[in-house]
Amino acid sequence: MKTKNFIFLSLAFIAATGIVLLSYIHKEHRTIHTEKVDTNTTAIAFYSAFIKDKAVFNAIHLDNAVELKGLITAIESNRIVLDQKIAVTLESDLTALKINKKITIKGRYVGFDDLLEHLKIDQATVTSTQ
Amino acid sequence: MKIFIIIFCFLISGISRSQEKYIEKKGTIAFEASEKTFEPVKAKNTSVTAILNINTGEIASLALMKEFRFRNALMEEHFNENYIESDTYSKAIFRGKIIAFNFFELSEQEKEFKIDGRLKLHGKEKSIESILYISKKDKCISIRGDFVVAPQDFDISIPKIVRNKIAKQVKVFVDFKLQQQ
Repeated sequence: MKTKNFIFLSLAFIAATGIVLLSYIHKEHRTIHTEKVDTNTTAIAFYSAFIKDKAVFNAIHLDNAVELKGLITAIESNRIVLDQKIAVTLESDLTALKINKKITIKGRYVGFDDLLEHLKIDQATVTSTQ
Repeated sequence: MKIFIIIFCFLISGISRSQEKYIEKKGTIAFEASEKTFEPVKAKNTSVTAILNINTGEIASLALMKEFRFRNALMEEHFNENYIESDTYSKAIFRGKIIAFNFFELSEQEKEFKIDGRLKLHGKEKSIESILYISKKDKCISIRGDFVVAPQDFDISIPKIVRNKIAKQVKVFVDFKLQQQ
């Protein structure tokens, strides 16, 4: 009986370890729209904070979910620009969006594009429009 | 009258300067560092920026490291945290020149051009020489090409435990569609 219990426990342990290991190796990608945001501000204030101290700004916000409100100044394919400074790659539908419309988006801050002088947000979704 | 001529010249020079530049905002850079029999190690960034000066052939391109997407989330995490250290080195920048570039010779047929430049990645810079295939259709310049880099050239150390799963030579593929600005 003891041997049977030992075999059963060993198999259960191996199976549990295997499941944990497999779920770790094949873990899901992040879903930014469900994550807690580390800031909820305007596109202009977000850009101003970056200009004020780039290193501190990146230490706080890089790779984190942020929520930004701004005016759409450009729409190109699945990318919009807020207040000429924040380039946002959207995962949601863009058809309802129009230039000069105020919008709030939630996405991940991924860094500064020196060539276009844009702060970039990816995996974004529209949280509200006006 | 003079002031009008000066303003006119100023405006014309501004317009011609902007016409020199072709820009891509959603370019693709993909890389593959797979070894046979192991899980493919490859990723793609579809938000790469590139600017080409058609008068000089000078080109600059920027890719943010966080925008490289892997099929496997864990691989993406390791790439960012352990290898490329994207919190510290958030971008790769290439600046170079397309040799003997002549905008007016471009056509729908792809033409081969040599490119010389420097790639800055992971805080290190290295010269890159390669061949680009360039064509032009309507107002769009298409550039595609590939080159090979070695992680060690950029001080990217691969831990022993995964060394045989990651190729020593990483092939990088480029695909840009530049529009006049």
